[in-house]
Amino acid sequence: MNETILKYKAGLIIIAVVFAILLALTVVRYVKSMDAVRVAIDEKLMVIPDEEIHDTSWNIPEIQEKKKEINWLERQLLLAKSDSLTLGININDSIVQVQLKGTVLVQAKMIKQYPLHFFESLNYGSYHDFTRIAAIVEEQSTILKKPIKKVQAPKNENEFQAVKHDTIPDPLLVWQFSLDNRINVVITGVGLDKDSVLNFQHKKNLMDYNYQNLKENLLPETYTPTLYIWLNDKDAKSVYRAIPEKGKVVFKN
Amino acid sequence: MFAYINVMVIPEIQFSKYQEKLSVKPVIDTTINVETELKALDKTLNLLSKRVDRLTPGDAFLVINTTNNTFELYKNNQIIRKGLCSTGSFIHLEVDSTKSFMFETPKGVMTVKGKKTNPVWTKPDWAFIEEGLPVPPRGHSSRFEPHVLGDYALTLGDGYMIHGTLYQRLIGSPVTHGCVRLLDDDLEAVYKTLPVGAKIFIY
Repeated sequence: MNETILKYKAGLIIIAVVFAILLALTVVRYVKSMDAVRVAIDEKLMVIPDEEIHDTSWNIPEIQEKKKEINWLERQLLLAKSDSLTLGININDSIVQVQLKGTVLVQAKMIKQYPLHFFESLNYGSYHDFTRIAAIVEEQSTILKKPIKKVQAPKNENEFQAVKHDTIPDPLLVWQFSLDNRINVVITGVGLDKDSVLNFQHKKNLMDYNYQNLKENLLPETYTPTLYIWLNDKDAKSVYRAIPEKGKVVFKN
Repeated sequence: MFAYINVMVIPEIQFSKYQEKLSVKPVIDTTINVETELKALDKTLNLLSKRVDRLTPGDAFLVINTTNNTFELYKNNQIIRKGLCSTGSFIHLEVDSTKSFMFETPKGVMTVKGKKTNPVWTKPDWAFIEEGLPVPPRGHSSRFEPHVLGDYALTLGDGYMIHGTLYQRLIGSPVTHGCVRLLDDDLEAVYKTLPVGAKIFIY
């Protein structure tokens, strides 16, 4: 027994050291992450008037429900003044919609959202801040907003006959954007498999996003909550291409 | 295990913590007359709902999806017809360093400016350039082509139209120069339903 331990001693020490380092890093990351949340909360609470946080009628469910509906309609009226296509994310009804001048042009049902019950029970002030009209400040996507194909004009008829227009199908959409009210949104398109069944693994998608962002968020200074939404890929692409760059977004919950 | 904790567990805890802090429950004010408050809110809600409803055209309008190349025709807030269409190809035709054309259907809201039966296509310069043909002078007979836009056309301004096509099999693909092409039956329905001044929403 002792001989076996001695034989693998070096290996065991290495495993123990690696384990200890990873544990220490995880603890440090956890502590920094919680600090980042505290910083983010402090920053958020600074912009919310104190009297709004303590709106006393907000906790009566019937009143809260009506105030939320009023809030949503007021935002819709404000957005209708703009000539731009705007995005509405109705978390409560699991709907993503594009509207223009007050007319809803498309409503896409969410296949899934994460976290569930995203900001469902915010205090009045935080709810107001969360649902104010926000602007996209930064975005990334797997497909182009405008799928422009550059073509050189043919010099004569023979050259025109030789021109071929090949089209390559777009990949599934992954559209990540950050809003100026410090919320991130990730909209992922879900395709169909060979049996025409929706094909998605939301846990794998989540791990992929978080892993990609781990480098920036390893020891974060502040925290930004992220809402993940899965839509039918066709709907997701329509919504993505409809919304202009720096477009306006409004939430309801 | 460590990877999972870092990638999945910590972000989840962060969100819970953040949400919890902003969900501070204030004490319910028992002096509030809930019924009176609810009545006042209902009144506001009704007024706002009416204002929002009035924003959607009550009569006929058309919605065009340029990504999926589909359309929906509405009348009295109901979809009365939907189907495939063709919109701009997003081809950027480069002639030389100073001249180019972008074949895109503009997004936004447009209105029907005019309606035509048996429209004749007045070919713009790009129609010749893209085929490698010399551009004829304005008003030249080769610029006028009948029977290629279908039986009807609705003009939207700036040269954009909703019309038919000889290439019916391409409907559903982004192949136009910016106009919206419809199948013959759909075009007839749209033509007969939309009056001049009707809204066309394009996204």
